Amino acid sequence: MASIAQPHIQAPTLTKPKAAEHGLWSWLTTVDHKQIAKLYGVTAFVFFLVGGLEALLIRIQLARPENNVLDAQRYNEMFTMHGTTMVFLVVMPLSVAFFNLLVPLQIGARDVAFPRLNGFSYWTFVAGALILNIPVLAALPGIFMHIASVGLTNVFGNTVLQGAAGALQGLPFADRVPDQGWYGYAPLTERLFSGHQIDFWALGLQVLGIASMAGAFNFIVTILNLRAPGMTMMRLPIFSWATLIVSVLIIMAFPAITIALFFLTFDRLGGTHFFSAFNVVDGQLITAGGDPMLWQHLFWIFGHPEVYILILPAFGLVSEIIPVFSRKPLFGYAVMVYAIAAIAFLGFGVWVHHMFTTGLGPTPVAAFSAATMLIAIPTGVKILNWTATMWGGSLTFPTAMLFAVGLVSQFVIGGLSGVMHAVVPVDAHHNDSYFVVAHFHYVLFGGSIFALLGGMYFYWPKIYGKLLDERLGKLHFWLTFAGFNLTFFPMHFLGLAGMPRRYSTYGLDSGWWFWNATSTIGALLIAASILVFLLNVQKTARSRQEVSANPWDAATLEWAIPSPPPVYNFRITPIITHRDQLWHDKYDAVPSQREAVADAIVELDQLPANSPVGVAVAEAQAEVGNIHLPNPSYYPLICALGLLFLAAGILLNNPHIQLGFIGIPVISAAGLVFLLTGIYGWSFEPAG
Amino acid sequence: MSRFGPRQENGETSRGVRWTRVVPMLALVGVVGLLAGCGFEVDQPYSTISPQNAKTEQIQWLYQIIFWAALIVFVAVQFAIAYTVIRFRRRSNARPEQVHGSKVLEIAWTVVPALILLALFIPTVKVIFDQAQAAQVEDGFQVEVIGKQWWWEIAYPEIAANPEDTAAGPLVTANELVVPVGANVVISMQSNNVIHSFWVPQLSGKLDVMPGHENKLQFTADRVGDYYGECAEYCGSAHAWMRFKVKVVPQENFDAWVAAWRTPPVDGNPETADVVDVPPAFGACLACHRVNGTNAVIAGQGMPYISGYRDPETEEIVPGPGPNLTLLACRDTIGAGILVNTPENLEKWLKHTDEVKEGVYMPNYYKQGMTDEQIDQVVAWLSELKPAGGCPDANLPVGSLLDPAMVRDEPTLASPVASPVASPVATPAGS
Repeated sequence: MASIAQPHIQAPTLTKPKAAEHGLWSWLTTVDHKQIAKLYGVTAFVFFLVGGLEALLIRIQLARPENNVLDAQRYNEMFTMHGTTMVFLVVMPLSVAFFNLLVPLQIGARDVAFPRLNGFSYWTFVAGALILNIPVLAALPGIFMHIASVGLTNVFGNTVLQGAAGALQGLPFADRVPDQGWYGYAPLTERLFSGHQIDFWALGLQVLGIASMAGAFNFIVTILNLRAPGMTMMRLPIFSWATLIVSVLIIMAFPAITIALFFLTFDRLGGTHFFSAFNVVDGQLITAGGDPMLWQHLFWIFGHPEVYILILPAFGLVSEIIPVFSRKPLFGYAVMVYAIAAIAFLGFGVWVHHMFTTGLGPTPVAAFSAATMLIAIPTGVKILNWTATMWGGSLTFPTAMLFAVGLVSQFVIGGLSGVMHAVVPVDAHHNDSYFVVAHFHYVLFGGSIFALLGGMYFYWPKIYGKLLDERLGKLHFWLTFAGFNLTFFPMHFLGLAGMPRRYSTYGLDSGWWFWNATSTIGALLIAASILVFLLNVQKTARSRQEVSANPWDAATLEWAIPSPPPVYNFRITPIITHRDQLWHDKYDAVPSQREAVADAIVELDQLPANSPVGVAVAEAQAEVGNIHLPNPSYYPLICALGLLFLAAGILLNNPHIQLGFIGIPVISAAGLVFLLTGIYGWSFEPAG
Repeated sequence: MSRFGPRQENGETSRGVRWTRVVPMLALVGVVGLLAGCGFEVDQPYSTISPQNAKTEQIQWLYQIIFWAALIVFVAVQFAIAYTVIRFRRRSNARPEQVHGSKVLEIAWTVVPALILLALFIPTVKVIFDQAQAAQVEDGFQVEVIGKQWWWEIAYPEIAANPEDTAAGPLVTANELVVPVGANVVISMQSNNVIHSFWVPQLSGKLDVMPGHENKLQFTADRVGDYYGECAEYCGSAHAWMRFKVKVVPQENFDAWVAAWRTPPVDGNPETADVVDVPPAFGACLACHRVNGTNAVIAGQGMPYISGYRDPETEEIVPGPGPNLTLLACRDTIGAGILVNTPENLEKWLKHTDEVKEGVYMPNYYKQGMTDEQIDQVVAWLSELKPAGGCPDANLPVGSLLDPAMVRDEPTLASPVASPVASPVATPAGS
């Protein structure tokens, strides 16, 4: 049966967006999932560059023994912000960018279930990112000036820039860069041992958590309720499955860190002692009744599922890419779905493997060792199923496929070192050493980042209507591949040589120099590869291309509509009869049906690719009746601003206005007004 | 055609882009070569794979099992990927057979890994419980370690500071754990500040020093030697310089060391007083440092005393008691591993405390007005904190280690102070 051509009953109203269609205002008020995807993607990529710069500073500091590019304090700040940034501001939002772009397209929906909530997620994410990063952005100029002054002092023996470096280090907020590590173990984060920077970190993460939760609910409802007719759960594209499961992970994992961060904030600002076993009162050490183990449990009950929140979207992307360039369906679709679900489920039962050296005793440690080993099974199934997908295929290797196969190959290394960590007595050596650093970079860079980069090459034509340059793309991949392995493989050797992570420097005699220097060279290669990618983006943006709806001959619904998609996605709601619908329609349908389908696809292709919203909507309306589209709205932005000001009020010494006997904290009060106004306006905004 | 049978060749042969085949193979060979190259003979003093006692040998046994298992799986999977990628490159436009899965295969590669993991889990559990049992030993050589920011306080609860005066408490030292060879060492570890982790890679895996919990670490001191230890849990600014040593010495050297610790230091007039007066310039140090056998015994030590903190109200740093300096001249390093223990480096430490070790709680008294003469006086006195006949562990072989120099010679200083490069070999502690 010809599926695409089947018209579906439309909602009777058409809403022509009232707000601007171009320019800054359109971006501030957009509720279109595709625009929000672009916002997420670009923002996350900017933070990828910031986090990468921090990584480069770390590597340069460690390039030789007793280096003085960064002092210990700045070094500690850089690894803290590198980790926090890459986890919360890069891999998560880049994944969310793909959720936003792909889920409505893959399930044949007009948009997500709650478009304004989607906008709210994005703007709240920006608010959290700003709270975390304002101190870093203030500190970076001083750090670079310091490096310049160190360099000049070494070469010329003068100290001209030192004063300037000192002055820049004194910028507002520059002394408030979080420095406690990305998992922020108490009691180092308590007020006895650290300064105000921890509050920025805690509140920044808290606000980011709100954004993640809102987004997760949105995607769950979208996937469960807005699938096109005929799209059963077992016909759902595998990336949408990954999105659904990751969203469930988010709503189950984030409450743990929300609680932990609230407790921490109470400890720091309210004088409680959830996480401190000791306190100092009048110079005397007293027991305080709290327990630093509580933080570790709460953090890792969140933190380990978080690892799967970071990797499962990557698995989803790879599962989309490999079949297309193998020209074969995904091997063992059902098992792949079960494997994602199994990994997610088991992911809640392994958090203690981050705490094997805390002295929990043999029984819990053995149990969590077993649970951790179990996760290797569904992960191994995924690796082998991807390989089996390629087996017998007709393989081509554009850059997207190179990155996807790169993940399959490199993730194996991270997976195997993960199993090594489950062997508890061995983990007593590897835990908190560079062996672990190597492990999680193989998982998060060789896994998540490879897949996200591959996803960019794969979906670039769908987003922007242009194919990224393949020659530069291949250079990008091989540079990344070489740089990545050169950076992170030697870290295994450093770990075996007993180098703990988070050491700001080391002596020559430790025997750690050679592999550290190698690793730094690798980091420079990665930096070069990112420059190649930026060059590619710039070159592609300037190129003139017309890309068809389905340039890769892919099988899922997003490839049935023009590239880039019109604002309303599907002019008519498709009806789904098969899992790989487009392949079925193109290759498997009986000839008469095939023609009908081909006609339908051509017709869809003929829609003006870059037409302004209004024109496209009007055209579509003229043809198939009214299309319901959500109104742009600035209330999500106002709500997010409210959260930003509420947090800022706590972070900055809140100026008070005295009204009689009531002191009103100005900034927080403004935040509350913004938030309530936003919610009120949102609630009564006409549905359009 | 069978699903996994030979591929149909549809005329068109692959066009020669050889490097795309060669590169992945080269990468594979390179990675395996690196793995093999890392080998087991590593000349690093913190090496996790050159075990020096029964406990670490047991860990090594387990590590080798998992290492080879991982390597075999790694090579097999990489080979499968590389073979697939090369063999099934597109050679024609024919649509390949549409295979949707294979129950047999998928069950196989669920069950086989499960069996491999089970095989790994059994020895894992055995070693977990073996080691937990070993830590329960009652008659071990008892040591109490308190992790401070950023140094280690080490107490011997069964060895009195003064055998005739039990109120004087136990023998306490810092950053060098001296134990007699053959001892079954049981370390009770505590912290009253942040979390640290006690790690001597050649003698034991690491164990965290957790505030509010008392963790017990056990290992045997099988061979005489110096073993290098380090803090392995991020604990703030100077985390990288919280090093220590475990010195395993013959029993007679250990006894001599204890006796020396109990003997008051030599001063101008040792016969006239049981208690030696510290030089006047050391007066400022009394509040935080103890020297056994002198009047410098007022500083606090043990769990009630925190090494330093930030006052929550004023945000000012409040320093607390520092390391016990008894027999300081017999220690290899100062500043928990940051400087070799020489008079020149002691002077550097006193004059540039906060630059040598960033974040350190000890104030820079030189900046606060201590004179050069006073510094000289303190350095001269500290350099003589050793027995008249030399340090008891002097001239011992430096253990099994290949590279005895653990410390850096030059700290990062704004204006470097010239000092002779010293190593523990060239100037054995106590010479």
